[in-house]
Amino acid sequence: MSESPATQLITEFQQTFRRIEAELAKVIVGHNELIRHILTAFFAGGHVLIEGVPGTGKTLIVRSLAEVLNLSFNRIQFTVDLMPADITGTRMVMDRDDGRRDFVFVEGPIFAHVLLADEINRSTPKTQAALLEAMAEQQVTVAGTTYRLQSPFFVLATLNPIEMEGTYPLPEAQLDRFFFKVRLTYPTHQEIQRIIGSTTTNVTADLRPVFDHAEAAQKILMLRQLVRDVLVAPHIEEYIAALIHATIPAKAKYLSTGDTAKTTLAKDDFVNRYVGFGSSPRGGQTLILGAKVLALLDGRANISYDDVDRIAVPALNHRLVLNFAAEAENIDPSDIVERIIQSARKLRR
Amino acid sequence: MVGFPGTDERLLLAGIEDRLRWVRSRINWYGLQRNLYTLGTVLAIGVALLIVGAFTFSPLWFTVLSWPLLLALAFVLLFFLRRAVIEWIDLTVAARRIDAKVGMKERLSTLVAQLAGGVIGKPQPSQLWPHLLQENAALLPEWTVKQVAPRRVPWHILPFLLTALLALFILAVPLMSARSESSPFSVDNLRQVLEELPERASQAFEKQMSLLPEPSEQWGKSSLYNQDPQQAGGPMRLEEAPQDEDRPQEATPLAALPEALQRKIRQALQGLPDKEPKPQEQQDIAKGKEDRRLALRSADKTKAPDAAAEGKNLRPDATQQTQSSGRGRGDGKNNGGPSASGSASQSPAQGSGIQQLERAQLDRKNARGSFQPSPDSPQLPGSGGEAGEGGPGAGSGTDPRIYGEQSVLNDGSKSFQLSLETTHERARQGEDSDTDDKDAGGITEKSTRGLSQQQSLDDTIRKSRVPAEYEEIVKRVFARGESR
Repeated sequence: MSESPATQLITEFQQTFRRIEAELAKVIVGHNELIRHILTAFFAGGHVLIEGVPGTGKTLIVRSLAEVLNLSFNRIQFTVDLMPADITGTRMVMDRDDGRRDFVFVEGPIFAHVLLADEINRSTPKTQAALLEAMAEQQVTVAGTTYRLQSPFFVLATLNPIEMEGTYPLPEAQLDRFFFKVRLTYPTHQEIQRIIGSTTTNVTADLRPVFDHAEAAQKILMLRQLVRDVLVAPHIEEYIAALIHATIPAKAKYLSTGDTAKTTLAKDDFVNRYVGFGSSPRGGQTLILGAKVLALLDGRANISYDDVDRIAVPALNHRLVLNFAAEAENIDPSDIVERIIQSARKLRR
Repeated sequence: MVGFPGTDERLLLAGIEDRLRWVRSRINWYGLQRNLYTLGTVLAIGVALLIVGAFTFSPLWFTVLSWPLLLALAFVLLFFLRRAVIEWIDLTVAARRIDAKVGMKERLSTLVAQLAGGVIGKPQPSQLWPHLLQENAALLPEWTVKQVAPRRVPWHILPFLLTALLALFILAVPLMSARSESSPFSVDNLRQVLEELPERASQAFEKQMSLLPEPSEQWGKSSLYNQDPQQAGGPMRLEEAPQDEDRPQEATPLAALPEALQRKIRQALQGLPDKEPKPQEQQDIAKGKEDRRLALRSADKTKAPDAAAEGKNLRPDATQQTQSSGRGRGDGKNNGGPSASGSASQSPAQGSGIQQLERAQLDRKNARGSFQPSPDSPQLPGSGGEAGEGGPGAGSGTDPRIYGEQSVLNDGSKSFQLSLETTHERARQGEDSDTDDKDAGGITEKSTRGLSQQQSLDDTIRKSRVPAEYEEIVKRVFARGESR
């Protein structure tokens, strides 16, 4: 039985995704789940915030990803004195051939397909906002002139959880712009052994690009379009909406009083006690897009409940604003998300 | 375009939808049965409790306890009905259940959701739509009706049947107990009822197997008591006819008659001297070829009664009997009832046999509805499955008025008149039964013997033209008066 064009597209997506994973695995030891989340966000068209201690391979992952995708790559090391123009670019007075001088826009490092914003929390909120605005709008405006960013545009920002003095934690509104927030854990004993063994010799990993440079962007855009073509049943949308609504505490401000949804979940006790503000609708968009990528990886043209559940923690944990009680009791947002998912299983019937 | 007619895609979608509808109907039917059986179980228990309470508690306590119980039963009724409505699922929900049961990762429900959204006849909702369809086609053998549909009958039927039997038994206990039993649910009485239950059940079973229609009201009676009235034939009707006098189709109210006639009838009801018919007259009656009912006679006594005219207001089957009445009185088999059982269905209207029956015998029959014919009666019992033949005094078939169709009073052309010479005479006791018709207690018009003084006072009624509908009652009244 010959494969239909749709099946061929899905197969091509699966092969591309797995080839990227395989190439990254050449240089990244472990962190398979993290790499899958990063690639999921990449094909879904989102950006990823990686939180992890220094020296665990954050920068290496991003640089390797750009190399494998054969896309342009830039890195910005965020510091306190970094200015927005240092990211977006600025107008400079340049000498023209005829001797006259003119303002010419010089693109900043943000004009790349893949951007590594290293230790984003060390820059001032003004600089952070410039980056996050560019992430959301895929454009920058300098001196009244708007410049489109290259597509695909993918930002990988890192957070250093230590040395918090002199840092500017990202506001929740800006955290919401990130598709996923993933944590880079310490490598295991065996992974450390492999890391130190493979990086201390003259042998370097030979990364092979998955796409040709000329057609890489076009191919990736086509695959992103394919992700959005995955079908979603209405009851899955109801399920996702119920999950999002379940993250909002019962006594939260700005809560709609006229909600008559039949599939709303009962508020979890943890949510009421520890959550100050729940997820925004962006969380729901993230759940659906991430689930679509997972469905394609599974060879399906539709998303399932399991796809949503698998994507829920990285999609929602940074969108929950916990209160002081949660910090005092060292409650992790991912724990709350897990509880919500468990309570939402009854909606699957 | 999705589902273009005649394409494989359309056929595949139709196949999926057909099977899904089948599974959905099975799921709905299962849920409905489950709720109804559960409801029936609760209601049966409630009814049983009410019955036991009615015989166990005092009226006050029964009232106090029954109202909460009835309210609870009403609540349960509404609850399960509401649940049955809620559990009634549509196609999309059925698809979700199949997805969950078979592990299809929402492939089927997504497809059905698209179909329910009206994707048929429209452009493909996605470039991945063919893949979804292809996957569902490949998974079609995974969810056959046998695999995913629930059982046809839920196990909830078992407690329902048990409780229904319990309720029926509890309902039967007072009925099976003696009337004098004050506490039917006492241990002793329950033991006795249980001991008698197999025997009674076997009797009931035998009656059912013998195709006899109705069981008796009481257990242990004679099997004759339970005979089919049609098979019992004429005697049953003989005794039923007087009880049915008040049927509106048969009688005109007494008040509709002339006042003088009413007064005479009322006087006659007070009693007339009993006169037995002479044997010679009985022989005349038995030998008579024409209908003895005076009302059916024409003014010219030599003219034969027009049986066809009589049957105008009768039912077709009754008409047939009436017409056959002119063919021979003694042929009770031919002139039997519409059931053609061969047993001569006879009514008092024939006036040929009822007067021969003893009053006490009639009373017993009236009480139980059965009749054991005497050897000289117009009805001879049949043997085995065959119907009995008409006896020597068998009538000429069922009187049509027994069936109650004759509601229109005639205009006087079918009336009768009792002359002063007319009297009822009964056969003398001890008369030879071989020569006389025992059932020939009819009217002999020429006899003037035994005309009492009181009878002579009945000059008016005897000369009046009484409507045919009152022929029976007048004859009976006079016969009763004479018997006194």
